[in-house]
Amino acid sequence: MPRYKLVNGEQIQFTAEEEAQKDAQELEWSNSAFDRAIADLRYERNNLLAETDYLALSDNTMSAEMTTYRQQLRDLTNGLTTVEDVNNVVYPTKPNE
Amino acid sequence: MSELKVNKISPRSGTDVTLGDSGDTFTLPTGVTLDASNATTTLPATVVTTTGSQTLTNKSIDASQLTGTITPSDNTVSLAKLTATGTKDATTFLRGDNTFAEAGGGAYEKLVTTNITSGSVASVEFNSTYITSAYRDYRIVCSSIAISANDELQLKISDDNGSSYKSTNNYAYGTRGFKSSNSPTNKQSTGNSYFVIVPNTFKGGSSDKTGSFIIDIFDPLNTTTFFTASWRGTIWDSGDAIIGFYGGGTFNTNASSAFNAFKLDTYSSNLTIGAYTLYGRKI
Repeated sequence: MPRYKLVNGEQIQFTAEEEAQKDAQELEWSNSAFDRAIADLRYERNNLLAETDYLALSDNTMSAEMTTYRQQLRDLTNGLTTVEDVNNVVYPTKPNE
Repeated sequence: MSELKVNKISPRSGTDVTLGDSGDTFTLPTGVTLDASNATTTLPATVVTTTGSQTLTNKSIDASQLTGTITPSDNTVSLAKLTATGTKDATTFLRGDNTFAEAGGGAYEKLVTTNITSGSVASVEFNSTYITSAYRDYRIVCSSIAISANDELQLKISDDNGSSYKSTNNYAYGTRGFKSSNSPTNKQSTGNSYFVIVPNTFKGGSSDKTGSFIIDIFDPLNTTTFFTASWRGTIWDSGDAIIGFYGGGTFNTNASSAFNAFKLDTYSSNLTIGAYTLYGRKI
């Protein structure tokens, strides 16, 4: 199916060159789906770790539950190989501080 | 009727001479000239006692003496009657200094709206038809935008009227967002091949979970500075979180280029719904 672009409100059909360029772009996007998913997961996981970083300071004794929670977060990406794996990840429940 | 012929009438005593009595009429026949040009003439409160039009030839009335209401005979003041200088046309306004001038800058003026209501397109573009030296800055308001699949939303620029868009790794940008769940999210690059407008994957395939945002483009035709833009808005991301975001970027090469076309598209999906309106601003 041909692609179109809207230029100043006017619909114009893609040229063959634009079609080829877009096809290549779509393939690249598809091939990098897992990389994007795992990167988003790591980013979210790191945010959650950062929320409890202050509990790991040397003048504080971390509870066993919090230690487990943080380790579960670190292990979250282990064994993930597909986008579906990433989408099915369940985050551990944060214990009371 | 008797006729008095003298060369001069002067008061016999004092300085006053009275002509006739109340109710008398002194008539100056046609062809007679009453020359008071070197005298001081005190006129009565009501000067004109005849009907019809009177013509003031080769004389003017000082504006300070016109203290009553003046109504032009046709009830209109035409442009030709105005002394104001400057170009008088549909693009100018009369200023307080009696000059016709273009509307003082500052406000964005709508240039064109592109509506996607049915079907889908790969990109929305604006080019030199609208990106002209008539305006300095531009704004694209993207209202209720939807895309066909989870994807990035990208901005690319062109200096050849959209024949080709810059694809070198010179799009340096940062976009920061906050999810409604309170976690931050961001995307940034010191050298990408396009600007990423939204900081997380834009949700696709939904007709109601849309995104709305504004992109400001600053002085794109300037040929001495780098291309610069900023943006802000809100979207749904692929995980159904709502994200408020802001960002900005610079194309850090080709400062001598005038960028006269912009393109909004995604990596691999289509734009399916939304209104994209381009505005221009003078300064």
